[in-house]
Amino acid sequence: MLKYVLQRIVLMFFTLLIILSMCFILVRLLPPVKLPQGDPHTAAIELQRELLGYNKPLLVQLGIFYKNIFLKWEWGVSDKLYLGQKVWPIFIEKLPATAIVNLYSILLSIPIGIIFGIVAALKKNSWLDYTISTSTMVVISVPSFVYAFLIQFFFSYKLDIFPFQMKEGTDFFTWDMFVSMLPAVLSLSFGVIAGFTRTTRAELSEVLTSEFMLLARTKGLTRAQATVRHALKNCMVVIVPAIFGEFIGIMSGSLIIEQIFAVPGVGGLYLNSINGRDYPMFMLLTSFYTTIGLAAGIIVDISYGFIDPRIRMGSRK
Amino acid sequence: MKKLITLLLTVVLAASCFFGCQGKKPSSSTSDSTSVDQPTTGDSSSSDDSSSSSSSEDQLPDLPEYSEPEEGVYTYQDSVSMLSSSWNRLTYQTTDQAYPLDFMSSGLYSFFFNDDFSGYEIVPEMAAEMPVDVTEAVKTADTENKYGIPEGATEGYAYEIALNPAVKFHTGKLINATTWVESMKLMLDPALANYRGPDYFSGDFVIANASKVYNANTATVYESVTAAGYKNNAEALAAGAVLCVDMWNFWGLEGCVDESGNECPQWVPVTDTTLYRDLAVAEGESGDWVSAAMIYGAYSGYLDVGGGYDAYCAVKIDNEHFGYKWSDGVGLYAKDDYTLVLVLEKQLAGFNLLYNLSGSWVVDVEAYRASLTPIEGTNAYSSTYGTSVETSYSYGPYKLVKYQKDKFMRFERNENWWGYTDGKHEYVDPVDGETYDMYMTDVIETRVVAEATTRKMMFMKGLLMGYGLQSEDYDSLRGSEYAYATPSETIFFFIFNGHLEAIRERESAEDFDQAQYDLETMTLTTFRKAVALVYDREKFASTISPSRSGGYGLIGEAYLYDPENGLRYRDTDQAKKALCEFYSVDVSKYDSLDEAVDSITGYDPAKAKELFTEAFEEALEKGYITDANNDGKCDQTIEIEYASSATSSFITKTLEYLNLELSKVLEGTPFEGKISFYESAPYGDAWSDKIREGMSDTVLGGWSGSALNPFSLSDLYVNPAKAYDAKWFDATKVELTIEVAPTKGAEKEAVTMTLKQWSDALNGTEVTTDAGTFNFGEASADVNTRLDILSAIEVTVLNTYDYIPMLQDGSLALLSKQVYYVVEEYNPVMGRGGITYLKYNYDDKAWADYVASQGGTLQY
Amino acid sequence: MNNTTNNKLNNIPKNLFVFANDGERIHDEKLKTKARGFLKDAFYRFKKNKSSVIAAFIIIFLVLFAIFSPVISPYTLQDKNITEVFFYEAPPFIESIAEKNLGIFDGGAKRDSINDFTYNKYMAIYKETGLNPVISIDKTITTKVIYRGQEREEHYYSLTNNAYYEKGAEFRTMTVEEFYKIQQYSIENNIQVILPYVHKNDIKKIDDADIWYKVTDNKGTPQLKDVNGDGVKDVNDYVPAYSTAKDKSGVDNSVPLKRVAGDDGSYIYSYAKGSAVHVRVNYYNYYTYLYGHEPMYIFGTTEGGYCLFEAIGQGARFSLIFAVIVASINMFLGIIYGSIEGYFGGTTDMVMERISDILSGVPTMVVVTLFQLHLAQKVGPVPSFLFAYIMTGWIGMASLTRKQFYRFKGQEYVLASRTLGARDTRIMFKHIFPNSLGTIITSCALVIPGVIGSETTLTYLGIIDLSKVTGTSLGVLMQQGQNSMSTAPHSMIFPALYFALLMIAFNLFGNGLRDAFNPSTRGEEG
Repeated sequence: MLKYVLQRIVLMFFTLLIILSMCFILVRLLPPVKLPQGDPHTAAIELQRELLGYNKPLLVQLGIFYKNIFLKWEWGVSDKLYLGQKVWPIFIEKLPATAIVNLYSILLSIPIGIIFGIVAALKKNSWLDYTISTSTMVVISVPSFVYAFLIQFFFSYKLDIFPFQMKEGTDFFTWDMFVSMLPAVLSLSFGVIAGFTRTTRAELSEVLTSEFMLLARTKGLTRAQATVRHALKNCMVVIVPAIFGEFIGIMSGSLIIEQIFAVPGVGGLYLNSINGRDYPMFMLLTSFYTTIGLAAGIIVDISYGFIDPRIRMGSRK
Repeated sequence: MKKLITLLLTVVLAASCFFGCQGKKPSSSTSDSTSVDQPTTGDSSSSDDSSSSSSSEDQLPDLPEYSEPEEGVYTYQDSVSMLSSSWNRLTYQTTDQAYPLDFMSSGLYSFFFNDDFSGYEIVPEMAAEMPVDVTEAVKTADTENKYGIPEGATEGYAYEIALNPAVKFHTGKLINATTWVESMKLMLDPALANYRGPDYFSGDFVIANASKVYNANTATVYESVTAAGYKNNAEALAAGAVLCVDMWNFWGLEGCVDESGNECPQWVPVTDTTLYRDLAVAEGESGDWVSAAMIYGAYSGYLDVGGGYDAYCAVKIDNEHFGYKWSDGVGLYAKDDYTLVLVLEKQLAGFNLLYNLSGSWVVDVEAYRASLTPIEGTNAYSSTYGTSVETSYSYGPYKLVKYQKDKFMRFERNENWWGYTDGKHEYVDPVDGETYDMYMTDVIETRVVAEATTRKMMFMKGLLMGYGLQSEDYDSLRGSEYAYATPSETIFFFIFNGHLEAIRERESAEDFDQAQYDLETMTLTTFRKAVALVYDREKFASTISPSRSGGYGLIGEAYLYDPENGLRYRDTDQAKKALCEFYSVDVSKYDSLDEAVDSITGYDPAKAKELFTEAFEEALEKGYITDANNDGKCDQTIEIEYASSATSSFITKTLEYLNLELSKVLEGTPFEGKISFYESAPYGDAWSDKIREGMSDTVLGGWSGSALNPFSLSDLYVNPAKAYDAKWFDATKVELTIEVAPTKGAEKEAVTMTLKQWSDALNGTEVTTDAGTFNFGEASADVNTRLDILSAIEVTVLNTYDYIPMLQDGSLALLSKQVYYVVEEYNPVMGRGGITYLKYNYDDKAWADYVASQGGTLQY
Repeated sequence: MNNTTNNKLNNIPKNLFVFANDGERIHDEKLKTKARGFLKDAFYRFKKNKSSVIAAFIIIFLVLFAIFSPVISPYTLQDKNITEVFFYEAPPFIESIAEKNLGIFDGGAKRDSINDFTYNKYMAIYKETGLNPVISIDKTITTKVIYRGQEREEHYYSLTNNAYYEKGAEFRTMTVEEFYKIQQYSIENNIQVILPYVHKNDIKKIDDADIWYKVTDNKGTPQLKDVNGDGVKDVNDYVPAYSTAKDKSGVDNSVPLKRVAGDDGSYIYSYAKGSAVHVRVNYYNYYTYLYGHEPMYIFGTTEGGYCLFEAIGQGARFSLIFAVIVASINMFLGIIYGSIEGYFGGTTDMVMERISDILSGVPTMVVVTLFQLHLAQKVGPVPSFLFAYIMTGWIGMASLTRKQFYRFKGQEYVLASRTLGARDTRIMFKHIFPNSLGTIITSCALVIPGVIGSETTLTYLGIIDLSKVTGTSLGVLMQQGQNSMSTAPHSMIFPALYFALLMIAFNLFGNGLRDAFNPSTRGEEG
């Protein structure tokens, strides 16, 4: 097992390098945001690009980029979005808001999702099962910005329970801040709850009809005991990696929810850096998220092995 | 005090895909750079004025975490769709970024309302007195003619400005003449290449030798043949100048390499024969290897002055000012601690001078230098000045006390601001005759509210000061007493492609089937006249964009030709006659000129049908289209491409409207069902080049900015570097005869010059023609003559039918009941006084109680 | 034990027994029941599962709706005779049902915070056009507020208005022939299309077609006949400001005109503007004149002013077809890639996994923008949009198949078939693949609606816009609906409802299919 993990880590490093280089060149292929003809500031922009060395051949720039990040952990200065400020500190300053909102929404939605899933699976084909699965379907199908708006309209405008937007300030753990975060947390969790309900229900109902459950019951276990001890463990194969996936996803904010509730997170950073051709910011974000994505891939694959010994990811034919 | 920053007169046509910032408010804090905006239904996200101050008595170490609305404190709640992340006075780029500067800076001079609030007056602010003209003294003292003040000049080139000694930063540090000079040194420092540098040498306000010091580090400069003082390319070559061709933009060779693999530079001398591999051409075909000499050989005619492509040919000049130092003669120095001397390269006087001096370029020089750090692996510098509370140095009524990136800003009163105590910042309320202090607002809180629906909900709950009406709010809220209309200067017109060569090139492409499609007909004037008559402008406005109205001329309603008395260009007889002439209205048939102008609709379906038939015959003769089965119907369909930067519901609705109206008028004409508009793939920022190059056919755009000097607009339509139809309408060749007084007070006589010469003369540059030298600048011609010229230029450009006017821009916004304006009427220069004159009905506590008493939701 | 009851059975006489088969040759008889193939059997099982059958019917209904909605609604998106778009984002309205004012299909739209001025204008519209814009006054609010320093009383209404009648009058410029044609139509059908003309200068230069009465200031406060002093202005006290400048009418005054009640023949109905005439039209009746029938929008109108009922049909058609194509391509690629990866494992899996990692690592946003900037013009928006989906769409399906393969690879029957010498491809596609078919089908059932869902988000982010190419799509409709949810909720509800129904149906249908195709996993609903 260890050999497989080591192999995967080394390979991950190479994949990362390939992806970063591709992104580096791809983003520079996007034509720089051009000021229209006749605008005197075009001269200033061209002068600045010359000084920043953007006119050098791409490969030379790539070399400088790698030298900077590996030797000096220097991610450079933002060109457009945060003029004149280092990119890394900005990212770190904005990350907590996204992470905390995502954390709350996961802590809220995973348990609820699993419970709904279990209830639906146990009471299969009953009216309860139908209501749960139909509402899950509706929740999955309607895009998230629809809930965000409905929550804001009813809870903040009509009933005045929540403020319209997340409160300003960095005191993330005070009561007022928590209340101001709830609309965003709720909007994010609808999707997650629905997802987990569906997966748990599918896995559990599949496992319930297998032979060893019959055996467990014949051995005299009560229905509850059999379900908890055997059935649930079996459908963990799918649920635990999904939970890992969610936790990994904590770092990436949802652009739309953060925009509607003014969460000062990293949600919109990615799209803005592409549209604004902010190369340093874009490279930092791409490296950060790609590393997390690849690391998550490894962890999830390994976790399969732990949960269900029979499955050996990567095992030969 | 009113913040009017330098008026940058270089104008650009740039379609910003969203109208994001609060509409063009007159008191925009930064250079009111003129640009074109593509119309959208985006609302102006907050009330139209914003700058205010606050001071809470006990200086709290940090903001109280959750402050209940306090008694006696007036807070101005503002919302923006994008919060500034860097408001560095020397490097900010957009008006959104300069938002905090509105509150944190003052200018040498300020604009206040006059006593009866009917107009304005200019008052010294950071200066102590009005500028004193010292052109003679400076000229005599300048023995080596460092400043290049022209011989004949007696006034308008050099000024002495006495500074107000009480002026200081919020930190208490005094601001004197050296601060002003050192700040300008930083602004123009060649090593920094600050974005705002060109504001001080590329507009009307040109500091002597500023561009020399700004470009001191660039070794070679490429100047156009005419700018370098030559008549045409041949003369330049004969004089031994190194003529170069722009390989990148003219031939698209950017990124191509020669045999030995080194990249093709942008400018290559025309005599250079090194061959570059043109990637756009397949291997082995002719033109796969091409050199500058070959290009110049084939296209020398086009590349010559007036050949239409002369912008791609330039003279390589070794920057003789290479290494130019500030001390070599930049027109700004300190005579003594509190007297500043300003020397200009271009004559400027009166209102325009004071308007330009109402801004400021002051920074805390020591702090700025400390914040400069070189960027790894480059020779550029980055500065954190103006990016956080600690790095913000205010010399305005308010200072920044709290900032959270992309989320929230809080400003409070700046106790060290001299304006609170100098007794000059108060006014008499015309309604109740009491005298009040300006800046009643104590605190300004600004939040990011991206979605319009959220803004509306927060406004209805009393959490925001203003809400710009969206099209769906119009019917119910237009009649509200709290809705204020703000006129804007922009006229949106359709730019029509007339670039025959480019169209032929497009038609020769393989995927263009000449039997089925045609584009050339678009270039016929009769065709364009017909299209112009298809649209009822008022109906177009009321259906597509209720906040706007029909537009008929090129210069919008909000343009003032005489800012001092607030007189509008559109109200002058010359402007009215110009419209009547263009829309061929026989004035004699109407009782008054006004009634004649009222009768203009620009909509005449019957005439349009005739013109379409006429255009059909003309196009048939010229072979643009065919009528094989001569059923009198055109075989080809004409698909007009709308150059869209990014798709939006506004563009989709507009194109549907255009096609519907067009199909109605085309019934019974040879083009029935054969002409339509379609939207292009999103071009992003490249849309303006597509139109210029004739690669795309039309767009709805309009110039905005420089609302106080309509005369500068003429340059936009005649200067090849700026005009959008430069490639097919050469204003430097078109002759125009106007009955005008050649010099002040002289008899009117017919003078003939080219359009470009008329526009340059109108804007103050001496123009010599074989009929003599003329200068119709502000200082050397009376207003009526200038109006005659401007209106004549407007009609001539309209008659090209390259620009078809459609919409006059405007916006409508609701103002919170918590506040009110001293004066309801909109003043073209002062607006409604902004935060300076904003008055409060309720303080924060009373307002919170009032909203609660209304059950949490307000009615407007 | 009492076994007496059945002692009769003990001594049955021998001769009662008869040989079942006395000497004929025994051979198989032809099967009486028809042979039931795998598919037939699957269909039979599918029929048994009630919920998936209902789901199948729902899908059929939705598809039929998509096909036949243009037939039912009197409008089509590319309607040739639509000459003007009248109502943008107006609520559902059917004249016949509206008259019964049951509260539905009456074009009712919530209008709150209406002040006196606007309310009086609605009453003025009612008086002039005879169509009452106000369906019901839901709330009247009287509040005190400080206005410019002094306290005063203000009066507001919350109304439900008929968004169609609310438009009242509008200015239009038309040719003289058109004017005559409308007059003739009005007289024949006794319908007042053109209202008497009001010139701007007679109403203090206010540019508003709804103001037909004299006003005292440029804000529009109406001038009353006999000023009876009490605050409430009665619409009947308004003094009409109709223009009587016969010489300026620009038409032949002898031509008969459809005159309003109370017109003694002095009013003019048109004003000369150049060679055309400027008129005040009753917007609702002008619609009826142009279209030949009163407005009928079952689901209301879209942001572009088109019938939402028909737009959903059109949008659904495109979205479904597009989703099916994308889903099938993604599924096909994913399954092939995933099965090879999952089955062979070891280094092939390692390499292939890395390739899919790289592909999913590359930011789709950049690639799509790049694709759009450089190639979209040549290839056209739909293929570039297709590319945006397929580039990474198949990876999800591939990892799913890979997981299933790993799951079943170790099962006994696979080992058994390998020992029997089956080739790899046979094992893969004969043994492992059918087993994993269940989960694949369930998830693929969700891929189709998933594609439509992500189309909405991509349109919202402005990365792609289908409406140019195909008129509209479900994603575009939902995105437009979101923009104006507070003012026009119908524009969001109907598309979202259609889409949710589609999702539910596809999911249940997917479960039904899985049970049908995979007897062993019966009962394990996805």
